[in-house]
Amino acid sequence: MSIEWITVLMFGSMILLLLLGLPLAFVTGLIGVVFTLGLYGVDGLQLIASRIYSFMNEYALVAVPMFIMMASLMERSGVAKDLFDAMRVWAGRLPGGLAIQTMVAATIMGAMTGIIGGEIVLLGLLALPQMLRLGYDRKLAIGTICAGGSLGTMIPPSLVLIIYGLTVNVSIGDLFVANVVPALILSAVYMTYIFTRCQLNPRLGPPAPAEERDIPLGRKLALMKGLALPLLVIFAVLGTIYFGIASVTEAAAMGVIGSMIASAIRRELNWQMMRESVRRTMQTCGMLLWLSFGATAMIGVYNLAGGPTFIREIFTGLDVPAVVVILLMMLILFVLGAMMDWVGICLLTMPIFVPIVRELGYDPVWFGVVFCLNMQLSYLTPPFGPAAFYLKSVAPPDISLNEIFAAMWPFLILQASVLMIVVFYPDLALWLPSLGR
Amino acid sequence: MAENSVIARMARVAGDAASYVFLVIALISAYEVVMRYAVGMPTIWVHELSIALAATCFVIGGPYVHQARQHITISFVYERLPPPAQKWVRLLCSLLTLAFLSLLTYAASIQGWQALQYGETTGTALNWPIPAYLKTLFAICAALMTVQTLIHVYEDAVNLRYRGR
Repeated sequence: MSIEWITVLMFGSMILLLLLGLPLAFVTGLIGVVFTLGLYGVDGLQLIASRIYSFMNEYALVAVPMFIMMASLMERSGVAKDLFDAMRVWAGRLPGGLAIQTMVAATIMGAMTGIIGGEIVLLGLLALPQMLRLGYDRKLAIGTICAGGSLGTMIPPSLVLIIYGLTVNVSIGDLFVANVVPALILSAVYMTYIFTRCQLNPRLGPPAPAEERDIPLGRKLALMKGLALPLLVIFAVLGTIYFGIASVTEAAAMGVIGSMIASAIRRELNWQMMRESVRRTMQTCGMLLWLSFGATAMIGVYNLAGGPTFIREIFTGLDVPAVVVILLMMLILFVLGAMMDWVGICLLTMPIFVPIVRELGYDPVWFGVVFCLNMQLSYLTPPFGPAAFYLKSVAPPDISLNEIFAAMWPFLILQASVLMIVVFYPDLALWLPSLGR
Repeated sequence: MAENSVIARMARVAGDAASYVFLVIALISAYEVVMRYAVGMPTIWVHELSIALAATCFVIGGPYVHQARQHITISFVYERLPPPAQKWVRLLCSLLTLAFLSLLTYAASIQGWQALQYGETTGTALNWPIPAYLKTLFAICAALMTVQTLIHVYEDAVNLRYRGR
């Protein structure tokens, strides 16, 4: 069978099986084993087993459950609530103030969590009722929560970057540092958008009533204590990575211990909380890792069949500027993002794309940043955008899924614009890591 | 119901028990950092042990999620099918899952048996028999998922005979 047909059959059947409702982990795994059997016979199956075994033995992968557990602990403690309350009192008379403060809180929370979901749920419970109570425009409020809650993917620590770093063999620390500036730009763009819209039409984001705003300065400062614990934990994790004190995995473990200490200081640490957190971690890991096992099997046989060379020839055969190739890749990732989980996409496409990206003279660290931005975009895109489903699960019943998706459009456009800016100005990502060298 | 089968209970008990291992990984990693900086005596066992412990959880996580049928799925098209078609699609998906998992179990068993026979070790300073253990565990978990899928197939086939959902 020629590689053209293998490619068409593999990816065609993948999309078909996905839409049928077969779990993603089994779709890629099944395609992997069936093609291995067809092309290399029964003995070829050993290759799949050994590929999966070596994948699970990566040290950096240990960071994944640690960051998930850290986020689970944070979600179950009152740390997030304190953080939000500390930010809320400073909103004052600023148009859209509460939404902007929500975005600030979301940005800080993003530095404590590497996955979305939990963060959206938290913001949906904490910030959404407050905004609706003040009479905020519903779409603006919903969009703020979904976009802000998804920042967890971009702001280090990010699980997307860990898996990307593992797959293409670049320093995860560098990736984390490179993501800082684009993530902050994204957050600033969201805030500017909220401010501008509320400035033009103050009814979209009215300030709190005067008696609620009339909080003495001393009390406001006292509430700032709520910032201390999160910042301490963030510093424990990101500080140790940036200053090269410990590996990413060790830093993540420090984050778990830090979150436990933070909960203990708040007298919230108990066995029930621990049990729920570790079980949640187990479940998330079971999903993520078996997804990875399946994708590893599929890409393994595609590699052997000569897939990457074939795709590279197609891309390099295109007589277009390098940046058009990158944009084409972004389009492919975006389309895949509407159907698949980011883990699957990363493991399937990056081994093929990144060598081409290197050949075109781009930095793989920069490509990790744009990949991450692209995956975050897919969290928000209908019809499967998980962000909407997470918010729906905690929003008041009269907010429909359609309304949530409709509310996301302005934020989707903003994020796509930031993605384009980073594609055309790679220095935005590469400047900060270059300082450390 | 499949959720109450012996296999499902085994997967749940194993997963719940193994989930505390994450806490152990966090503690020994922190211990390593403290030993390295405060005491100046880095350990030689934390690195390998944490990989082995994490991999244990990853492997056990498979049947843990599978027993509840919680592996990530796109249900967009499925939900728009008429109920009779849904039942057939469900059965088809279980059969396809069975095909994948039984082939995986076959491959993992050979891998596990070989590693176990030779008592395969890591080949590092510690030279623990971690590969022999992990490869065996992987085969056991793949087998557990295969049996669980057989129960799903049976359940889905029986379900075809009932009207409605």
